[in-house]
Amino acid sequence: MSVDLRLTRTHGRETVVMAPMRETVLVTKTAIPDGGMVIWTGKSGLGKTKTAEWFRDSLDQTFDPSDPLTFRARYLQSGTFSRGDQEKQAIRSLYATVHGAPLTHYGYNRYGPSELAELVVIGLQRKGIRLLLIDEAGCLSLNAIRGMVLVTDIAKDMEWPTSLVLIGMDELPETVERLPQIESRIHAWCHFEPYDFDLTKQFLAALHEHFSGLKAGNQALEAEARYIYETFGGIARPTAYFLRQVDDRAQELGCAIDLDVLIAVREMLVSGRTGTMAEKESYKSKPAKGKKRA
Amino acid sequence: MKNRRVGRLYSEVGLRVLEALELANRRHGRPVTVAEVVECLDASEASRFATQSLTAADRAAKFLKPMVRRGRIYSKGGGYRVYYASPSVIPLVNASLPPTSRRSRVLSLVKRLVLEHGIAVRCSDLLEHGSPEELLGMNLQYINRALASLAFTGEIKVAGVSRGKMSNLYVPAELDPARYSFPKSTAILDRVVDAFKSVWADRLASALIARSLPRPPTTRDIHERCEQMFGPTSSRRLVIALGSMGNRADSGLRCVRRKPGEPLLWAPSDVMNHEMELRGVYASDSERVAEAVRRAIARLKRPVTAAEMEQEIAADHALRPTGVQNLRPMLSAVASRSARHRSGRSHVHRVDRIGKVATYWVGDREEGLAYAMFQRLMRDWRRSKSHRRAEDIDGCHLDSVALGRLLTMREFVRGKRRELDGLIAIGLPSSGLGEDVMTLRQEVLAAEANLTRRIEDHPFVMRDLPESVETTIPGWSAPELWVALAKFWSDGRVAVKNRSLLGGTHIAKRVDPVAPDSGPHRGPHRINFVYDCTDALLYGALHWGGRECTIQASLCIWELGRLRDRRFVLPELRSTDAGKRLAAVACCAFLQSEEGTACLGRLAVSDPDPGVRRAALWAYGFSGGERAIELLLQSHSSGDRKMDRDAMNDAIAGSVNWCLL
Repeated sequence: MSVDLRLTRTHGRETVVMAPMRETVLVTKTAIPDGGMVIWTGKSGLGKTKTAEWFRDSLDQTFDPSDPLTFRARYLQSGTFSRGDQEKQAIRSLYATVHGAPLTHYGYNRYGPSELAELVVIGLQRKGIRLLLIDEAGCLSLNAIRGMVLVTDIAKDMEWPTSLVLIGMDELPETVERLPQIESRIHAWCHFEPYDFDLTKQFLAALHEHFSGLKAGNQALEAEARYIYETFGGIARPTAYFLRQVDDRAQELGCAIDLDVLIAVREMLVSGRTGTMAEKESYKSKPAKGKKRA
Repeated sequence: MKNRRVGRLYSEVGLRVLEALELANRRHGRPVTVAEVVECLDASEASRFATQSLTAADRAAKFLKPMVRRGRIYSKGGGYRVYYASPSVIPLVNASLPPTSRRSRVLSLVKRLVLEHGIAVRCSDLLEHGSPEELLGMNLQYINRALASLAFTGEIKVAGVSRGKMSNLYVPAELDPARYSFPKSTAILDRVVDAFKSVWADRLASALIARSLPRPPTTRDIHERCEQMFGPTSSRRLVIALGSMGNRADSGLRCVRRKPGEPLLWAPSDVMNHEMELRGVYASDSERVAEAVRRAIARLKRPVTAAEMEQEIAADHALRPTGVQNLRPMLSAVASRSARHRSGRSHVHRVDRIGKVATYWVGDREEGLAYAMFQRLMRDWRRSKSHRRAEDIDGCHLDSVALGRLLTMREFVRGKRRELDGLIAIGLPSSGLGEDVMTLRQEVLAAEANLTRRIEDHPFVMRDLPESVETTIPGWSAPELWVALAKFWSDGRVAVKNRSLLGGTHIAKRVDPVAPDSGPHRGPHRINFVYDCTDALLYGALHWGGRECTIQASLCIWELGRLRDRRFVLPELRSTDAGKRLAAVACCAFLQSEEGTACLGRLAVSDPDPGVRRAALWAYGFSGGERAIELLLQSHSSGDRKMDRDAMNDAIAGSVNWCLL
């Protein structure tokens, strides 16, 4: 039996703008004139990255160089930095994101952190950027976060207030709280939570046309939505992924989507992951290397 | 009291002197001089004997003269040469004085030597064979003067003349000169023949013990043996003698002819070449070094360095030089000597230089140069991996520039292929490097095909883009370069230390860190290289430029790579994307073309994006735009670009240093 390995779609990153996303964006936007910091936290799959990308794209679309009230944003997927001056390395990564080209090695060694930050701010001014979205900020060290905050401080001095949005999971608040001088700069905290049932229904209706009848009070669809909500707990990313699986299988089998199909696909996915999960459990039960089990 | 003490002292010292005199008389068997008396005193006594104002000899004379008056000893001679003797040792009737004058001593020496050796003597022979007593106070000139005087008075006769200075041959007057003269021309030849026979006998004995064929001696071996047997011998005379004997059929000695440029060997005329061991015979350290280089080349199949030659010497002790000179200077000297003299198969040639390490070749110089060319080609190809890596272009924002960079890479690869084809045409594949050449050529061809495919598949196709890239890079001579780089310094001082950016095909890789007026032997005027303008400006901007300059230079390096053709950059100034226009502005600033400067001037005024306008204004000023200061003041007044006070004053004064902004 041959398997059709072609993709059913070229990319699976449909953006469904939900009310919490808009609310988060509005809260963030108010911090920009003061150059304040905003922290976005929440578990994985709750739509933080999606919100940041949508926010950035929206700002880019509305940006008008002749209008000083419009601005741009830059999204940076940060990671851990190698050994060395973490502060300067963080500023260097911002430089590359803002200017679109890395700073040369000699330039990096020639300037100190504040001068590097000035170079970044020149790029911010030139490109009309007033918002920096730093994803996976929980991986950053304290010095790296200091370096990024230094950029916003220099930007204020250069009359170009720029906001910093640190996006991370639950460990980010603990990291930030260890830096009192940074904590005082935080303008707002945005905590991402799973959708409730009503939001899940809205999400499903926007995500797949099969669920468009939810607004009309279709009972069968309500049952399907309830099943999905109870299965994934209102978390957006696995919900969207599950719907994509269901769509592909239904097209493959040539049948319509209903509750039985949803259950069958779910069970198939779970059974397919059984072995993997069992391995994970056995792995977890093993003692760490060099340590004895208590 | 005092006089009595002095008298006792005198008598004690007088006894010591008398004892020394008797000892000297017994030792010499004749009356002796005061100096000889003093020699017989003990060393400690003699030093104690001397006073602050008188030497030991003077003080001894003061004691000897009263003794003569009292009759205890007697004296003979007079003037400055007085001899004393004790009658108890040498009676007066038996006293005979030594020959006192140089003239008489020379005469007696001539008589003695002629009778002993049976041949007439030369001036130098007297000096060589005379005893120290006979030659007391004489040198070659005194002897020659005495001989001339004796010959003038007829006490000796001239028996003949030999070659050289002071070369008259003398015999005493009572002897027949014809009987004692000798054939002058055979002296050195006889010595050479004797020395050669001695060396050859040793070689035969060694060969008999080792059960091998004898090895013929070199000129150096014969010279060393000659000096051992006959004393100091002029090597020049010996070489002349050997040469004359090698040409004579009756000399019993012949020259073993070897390869051109190699030192000669010598053998008996009746011994053929196949009866001797000629392998592994090295007549000099130069020959050993050349053999070591030859073996290293055979092992590595390429021109070799001094270190690789040393490995061969370590493996075979026969190649170890006998001299005291270090190997590397010796190799360098041998190569220099080969360059000065005619080309020979065994000559060592310096064919290439890798950094500071020279490589050498033995044999045909052209072949060595071809090898070196291939090595350089291979090295450049390996080093240029980053320049021809097509994946790096993916980070380039400007599509037309990316296309130009691909074309530049392809031209580079094509150039290497042409060089390889040239090497193949001169027959390098027939040598040991054939496989390597063909492998590299396959690699180059594959890279060229890959780049061609990427160029054909490039999505960005514009009608106004040229089909080929311009690879001729505009360059500055060294003085022009210094003038350009001096702009980055407020005091005009330039010190380039980092050479990494000033490298490339058309660029000199070395810039001396000195000012132009530091002297002709070190200054950059001496270097006739051409420097890439864009590279030089980027170097200055990154090292000494202001913040704007640094940002633009970083962006230009990232976008432009090795591309230097402005035709691929100018279309991007019309892009709808502000980010692309910014990148194109940075590239145009450092490419420095009139067309680009004009475009930058228009962009600085009319671009809709204020950020692009600011960048374009700086680039316009940096690339020499005439209206740059005027536009700068206009932009400041309109709030488009804010300047600090110093920059404002400079702009008003009409002299803005754009490099430092």
